[in-house]
Amino acid sequence: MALGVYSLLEAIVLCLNAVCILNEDRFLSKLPGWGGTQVHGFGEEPGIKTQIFHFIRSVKTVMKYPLIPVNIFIIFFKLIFG
Amino acid sequence: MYEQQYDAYGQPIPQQPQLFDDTSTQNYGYGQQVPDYSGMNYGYPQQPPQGQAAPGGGGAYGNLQGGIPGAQIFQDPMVANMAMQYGQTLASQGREYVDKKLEKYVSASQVKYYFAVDTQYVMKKLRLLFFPYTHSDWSVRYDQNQQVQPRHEVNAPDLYIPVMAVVTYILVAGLCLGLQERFSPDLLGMQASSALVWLVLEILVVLAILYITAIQTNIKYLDLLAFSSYKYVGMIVALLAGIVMESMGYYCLLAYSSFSLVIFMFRTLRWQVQGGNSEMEAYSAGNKRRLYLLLFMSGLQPVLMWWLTQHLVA
Repeated sequence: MALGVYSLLEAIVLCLNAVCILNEDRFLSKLPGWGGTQVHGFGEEPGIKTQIFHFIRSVKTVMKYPLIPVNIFIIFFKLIFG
Repeated sequence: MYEQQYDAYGQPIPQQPQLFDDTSTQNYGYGQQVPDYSGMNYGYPQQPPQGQAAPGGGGAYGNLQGGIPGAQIFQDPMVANMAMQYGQTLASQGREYVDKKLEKYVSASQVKYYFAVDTQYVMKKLRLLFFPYTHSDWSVRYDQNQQVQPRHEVNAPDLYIPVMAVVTYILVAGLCLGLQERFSPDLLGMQASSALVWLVLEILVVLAILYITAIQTNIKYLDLLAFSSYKYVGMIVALLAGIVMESMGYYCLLAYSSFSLVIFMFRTLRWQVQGGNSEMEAYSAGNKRRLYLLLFMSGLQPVLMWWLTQHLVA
């Protein structure tokens, strides 16, 4: 399977899009354990679920705005060059 | 061509007998000057190889009559020296600037650590990659909180073998394709980027798992890169066997090198992932996660080895 660097970048952008699209009010709040910001003690085990939630939240915070121009660029690129 | 030539100061230049008839001085004239003025040209225009011992200052003197006016100043050795020094200062300044910028992303001194290898280390490491059965002590000695350089410690990861292995893999892939009449240069580029992309993907997946399962380790990113690229050595060997003995040799060697690589990875990583610190506190869940991570990483190697080579073997 010939993956090029561009395919890798596209795949990463698509995955980040998928994470950023998750709607906070309609979906994420309904998940059990979502509001878990109080587990910041020096506990040994943050738990997989908390880690994933942290990950989703941080990706959404960081990547929401930069992803918009990246997506616009990729759409433009695909329109022009196919 | 054989008359005595003089440099800019009128001193005779000692000459060796020319090995061939130098027709370049006749033809170049103005045309030679244009390509010479890109950047610093160390004071005198580049000469095509001649049999003269002279630096070409005197010999080119005749050329510049039709050249760019003002170029004759570079014939002066003093100006030539100054120009050379200036060029060197510029170059070193540029290099410092680039180093400073790159330091944020890829620390140069860190990377240098991984290339501090010698032949002994490489031989021992390669032997370990294929015969990890008898080696008993997989720990890495530390030297003031920093790992000992690979040249002194066989178990430390390095980046020399991985870099060489990746490049050799690309070349061997080209060889395989050529032997099957499927070769074309852009295919080679695709193989190269494919290999690199799978490397990056593997490292990303491992990093994601490390983050999600919150395992505390001392593994650095470059270490992970090194460990993920050790499989290319096994892949090269399997591909070469595939060339020699068609599918049978390929599968046999692939199986064997996968097996030894799995053992190698498991033992090396068990030491590295378990922090390298002497406390072996029983975080029972943490240890279980570490074990799963180890198994996953080690098991991923044969799969990737097979995936990346099977399309190259007839």
